[in-house]
Amino acid sequence: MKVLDCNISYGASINGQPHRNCDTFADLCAAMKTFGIDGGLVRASYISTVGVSYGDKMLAADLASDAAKGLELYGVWGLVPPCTGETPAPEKLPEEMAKNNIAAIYFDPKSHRFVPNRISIGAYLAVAQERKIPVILHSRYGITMETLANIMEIYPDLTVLFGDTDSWPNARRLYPLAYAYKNLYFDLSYVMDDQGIEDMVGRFGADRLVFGTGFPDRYTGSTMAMLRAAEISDEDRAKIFAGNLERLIGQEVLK
Amino acid sequence: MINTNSKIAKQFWETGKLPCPILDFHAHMNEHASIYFPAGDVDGMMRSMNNFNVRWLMFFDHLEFNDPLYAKHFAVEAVNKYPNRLRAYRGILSRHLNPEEDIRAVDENPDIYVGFKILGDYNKFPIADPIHDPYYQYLNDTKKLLLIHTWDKSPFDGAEQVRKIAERFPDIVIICGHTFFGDIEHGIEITKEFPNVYYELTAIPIIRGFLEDIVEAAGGSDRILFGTDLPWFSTMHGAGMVLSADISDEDRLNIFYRNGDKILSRFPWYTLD
Repeated sequence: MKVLDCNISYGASINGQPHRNCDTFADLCAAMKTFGIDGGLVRASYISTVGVSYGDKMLAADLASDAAKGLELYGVWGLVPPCTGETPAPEKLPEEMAKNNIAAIYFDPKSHRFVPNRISIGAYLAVAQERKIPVILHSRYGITMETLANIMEIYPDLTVLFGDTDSWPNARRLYPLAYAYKNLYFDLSYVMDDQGIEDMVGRFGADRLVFGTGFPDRYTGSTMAMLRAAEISDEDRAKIFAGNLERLIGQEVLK
Repeated sequence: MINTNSKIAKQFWETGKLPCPILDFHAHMNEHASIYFPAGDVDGMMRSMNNFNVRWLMFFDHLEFNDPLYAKHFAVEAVNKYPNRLRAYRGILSRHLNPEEDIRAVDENPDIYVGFKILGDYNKFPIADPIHDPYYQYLNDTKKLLLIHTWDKSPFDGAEQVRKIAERFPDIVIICGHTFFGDIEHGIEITKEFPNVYYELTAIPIIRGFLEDIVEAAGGSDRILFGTDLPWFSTMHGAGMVLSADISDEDRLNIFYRNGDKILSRFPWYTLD
């Protein structure tokens, strides 16, 4: 069964986090082979810890290196409000992403210190909506549920891959948004709920769920085992393990 | 395939089933005000247990915990519905103690209860306070189980509170739920000092590396018990951590059921068959 992970990262850390880190891109590639992960969306943690210019360039270079051979890896770039000129101009973003094998973008207002709204990042969100670029919004980067709801209200057709680090089962917060927005997808990295996958597949269909591990912060085996053993059809399981992410990253931007 | 270094992980990946039983020492049941559970009642939990090869599960009912007055019968009914799969912990509710009634209930119903559970953080009451002594003395005399919610450096149920209980009641089998999450190193010192203190793994999966730290610091996996907080968290979420952790397959089997098998063997009703 093919396995693509929507939430993996690497990069040395100065503060002891994650607890067991994955310092280099080569270490990440080796770990993926040990855990049986065939590829996915990778992020350089330097984007959030050092800066967007440094991290985005390093990620693009690493993706083009020999270490990536044999794995189906695509990058995730971090963006800050375009008015400062630190990240590609919105109109040039799709072209720059395609050149550098970048398949998704994310915003980290917690580390990069900006307000994530239409005024600050709306130009990027408009391009992403038009070109079907997956936008990763995650509570670990300071995206609250309220921010997510506000963004979806303004950009209802935006392709969003949302993740939430809250370990407590969160259906009462997430399900209303899932019912409202058909392009809202869920990263399963931090989902631990008993029979949660079965419940979501039953309500929204398997197309809305995307396998992720959160490596190196989290154990890769946790989500893998949950999904492998979930009481869903093998067709749905294959979609969640790889097919849905393939569909998302195979849209406009990489063509 | 989860872990190329593990035969057990490979077997699981090929079949979707663990090749060994699981003994779950930390679960709950029924409604909780903060949470929607897709399968929180006894039948929903049994469905998960069957799917994931959980042979026995020990639980403390949410209803009994959050309503100290009128809800103690729900746990009894659940065990009576599945007498060959479930056992309950009776609650020690520090602000609603009734030791005479509670101890009698546990003592007269050995096929329902394995012991008591106490949650100092939730009751905002130190678990080592002598007010609980009748319960602990009973457990010490009968060698039944005490499951404790242990968390970080809590003044209510942190490592120092557990140490005080273990010192005074050395024959209680103390199961440290969540393994002092946030203060694991201190917790490990206590298990080294007291042979009847065990770790339990609920919450540990959320930080990669914690399980390896525990195995390494404790000098092995002999005192680690499996638990999930079901119906909160999937059995396979915890099992997946064990499968992908950098430990041996012998450690994995110890954690899934061998250590628990030794503990439960003290009860006449227990069988792993």
